[in-house]
Amino acid sequence: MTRSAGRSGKGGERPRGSSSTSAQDDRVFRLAALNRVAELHKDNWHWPLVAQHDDVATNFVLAWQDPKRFVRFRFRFGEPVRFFPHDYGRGPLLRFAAALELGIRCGYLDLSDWPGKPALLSALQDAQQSPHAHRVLVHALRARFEGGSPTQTETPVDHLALAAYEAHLELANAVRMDSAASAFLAETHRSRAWQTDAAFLMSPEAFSEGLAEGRVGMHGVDRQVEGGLHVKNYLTAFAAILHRLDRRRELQEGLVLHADWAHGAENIEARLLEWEHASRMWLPPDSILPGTFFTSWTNELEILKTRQKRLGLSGDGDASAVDEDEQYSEAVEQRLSKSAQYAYRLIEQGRSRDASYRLGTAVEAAVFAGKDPRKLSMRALELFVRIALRVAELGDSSTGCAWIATVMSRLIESGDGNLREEARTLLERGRGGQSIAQAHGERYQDTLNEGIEFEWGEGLTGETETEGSA
Amino acid sequence: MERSRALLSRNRAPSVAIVFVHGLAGDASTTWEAFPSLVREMPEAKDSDAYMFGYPSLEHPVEFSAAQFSNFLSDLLKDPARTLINPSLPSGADKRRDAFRYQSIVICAHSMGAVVARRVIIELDQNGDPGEDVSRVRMLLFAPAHKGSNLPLLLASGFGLDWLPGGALAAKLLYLRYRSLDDLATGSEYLRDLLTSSRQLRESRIAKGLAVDHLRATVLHAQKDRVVVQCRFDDDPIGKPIMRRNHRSVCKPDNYYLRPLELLRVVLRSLLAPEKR
Repeated sequence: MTRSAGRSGKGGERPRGSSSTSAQDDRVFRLAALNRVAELHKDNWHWPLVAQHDDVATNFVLAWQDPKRFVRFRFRFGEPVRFFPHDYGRGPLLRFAAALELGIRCGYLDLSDWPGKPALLSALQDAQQSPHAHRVLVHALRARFEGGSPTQTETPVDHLALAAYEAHLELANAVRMDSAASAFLAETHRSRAWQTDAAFLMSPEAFSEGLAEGRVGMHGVDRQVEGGLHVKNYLTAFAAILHRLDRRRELQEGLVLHADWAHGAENIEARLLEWEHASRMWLPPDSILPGTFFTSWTNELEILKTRQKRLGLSGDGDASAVDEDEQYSEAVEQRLSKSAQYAYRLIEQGRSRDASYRLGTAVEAAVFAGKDPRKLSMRALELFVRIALRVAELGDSSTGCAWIATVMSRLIESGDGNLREEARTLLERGRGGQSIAQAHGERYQDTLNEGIEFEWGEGLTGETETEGSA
Repeated sequence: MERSRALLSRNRAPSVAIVFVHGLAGDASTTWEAFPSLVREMPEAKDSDAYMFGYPSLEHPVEFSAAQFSNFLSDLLKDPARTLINPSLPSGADKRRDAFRYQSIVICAHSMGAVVARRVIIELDQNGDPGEDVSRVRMLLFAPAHKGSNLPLLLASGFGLDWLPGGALAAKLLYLRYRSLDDLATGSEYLRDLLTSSRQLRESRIAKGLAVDHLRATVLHAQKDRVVVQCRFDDDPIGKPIMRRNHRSVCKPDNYYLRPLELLRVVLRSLLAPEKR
């Protein structure tokens, strides 16, 4: 039935019954922990390993060291076809090696008496060509083996780290076994168009059919709906694991590096945001809108996105050298611009409540996600203020005022004079309890509309198609 | 039972098994998030094994899921070493004695899992073998669906649609495809029968002077739960209110939400030191 999980880490973490535990049993459980990691990295579907040893990990490594010993056959159209583990690239091996390094750091693994070390070292000879995500950890593992560093954790085991690593393995396994999630992730990162989505986002009927049947009418959607919902849950669970390691930033980053299924989380978030907006259109324009679950979810993910940006894993290239504030500012500007443009079209369609909501979610997600909006670049700041003014104009003056209040000091220091004046007036009126219309009259409306239309219409034409697909 | 997981103690004879039973569209790994890991750090759980039971909750009616869980619980009560524990241990590890039995079993169940657990406990009490002394079982239920649920919302929560503004619409349509879940609707015949069976069994045991603690559950209700009916089931103690949690999150403790662990700790203490009660 079950996988005997956990309780199988290194010697330091066995508070239970240690007096009655034999050294042989310790060795067995150390090996079990190692084999568990190996099991999660070998791909049984495509590569049916025949056990040469009880030690799955050693088998796994030997396959790369000497592929001819491990030639396997698979059947295609009834004919046996030879293939080698190398056919599948070195991804699984590197991922496995990275998991070993992480397991040692978290106190889950003790490789001191593992006989497969030389074979692994040999198989990793050309690991410098490995993908970026695994290179760092693989390099550390090689240095550990070659330099004679301890292959078990030296310090007393941190139980939080141990539990986080276990949870990470369990989650990685759940994702690996979930073909719907894999299909969704592959499509998400293939392009930003997500052409399959339009079919199931057109109505709640199509969405439910896509979810239950994996198709809409005769049109197959490849379990994208189910996969998207699963991936959202997996990301939530992964963010929760990272939060539990708040005091161990180096381990957080290690887990983020290793969890390649979660790389490019911003792409996933952007796609699900499109789903959120599309499903909003299923409701009548005057419906009472549900809460802002999506915003709170994106805030939960902030820790993951921040770490991925630092490590250059957010899908927009290696950002390690880019200043974090500058990067934050650019991301906010981009996000606000897109949302502003989209909201403008909603206003044109008479959906002002949806527009206000869209602007609100964009601001909350982009600006207040654990960052200080006063660190925004001036361009992003001005866009932010214009959106706050617009939200106030659309009827939610308290929200608009609250947003402006957070950045007013920065605006006073160096902001555009006219914009500063408008923001100041809004704040004063907001404090006095008057509505925006009362406060500003037609002059204000004209100025505001002109300003915002200029920003949205001129600067952001390139984004129209993407937004239009929602 | 490929969907299930076990977390086995290095102690050769732990006294308690903690069994996690997920709800609709859940699974053994992700429904509980950090719960099993956190349990491991509890001193009160030092002498216990943990099982995360997995079953296909969407594909079959509740009774079918209950039949699967019945097999599992029966093995756990009668012969855990040979049927569950030793086959799960890595080769070369010391095996448990065949005669090993748990003194107590705590079932932590979420949503639909609570209905499954109650059904099986009643069934084993009424028709089980003498070796399946089900009075050793205790229940800790999170947002249980034993008094019925709003099925579209249950589906929305199970599938994780509650973040979509139009998710409720989609869930209503989805419900048409999963009519096997009618058993969980408020006022369903299945739930009425469950309540009647529980009440009759309890009264019959009391008349015979037997304990009924296994039929009375500790229940947690989430403040933001709109999915299940939050009424008392038979003779359960009044439910524990959990603030700022919803149907999904009530069973997921974390660094800041430790109430599930506190209640589990209370249950374990009562089992480990019954004479002090």
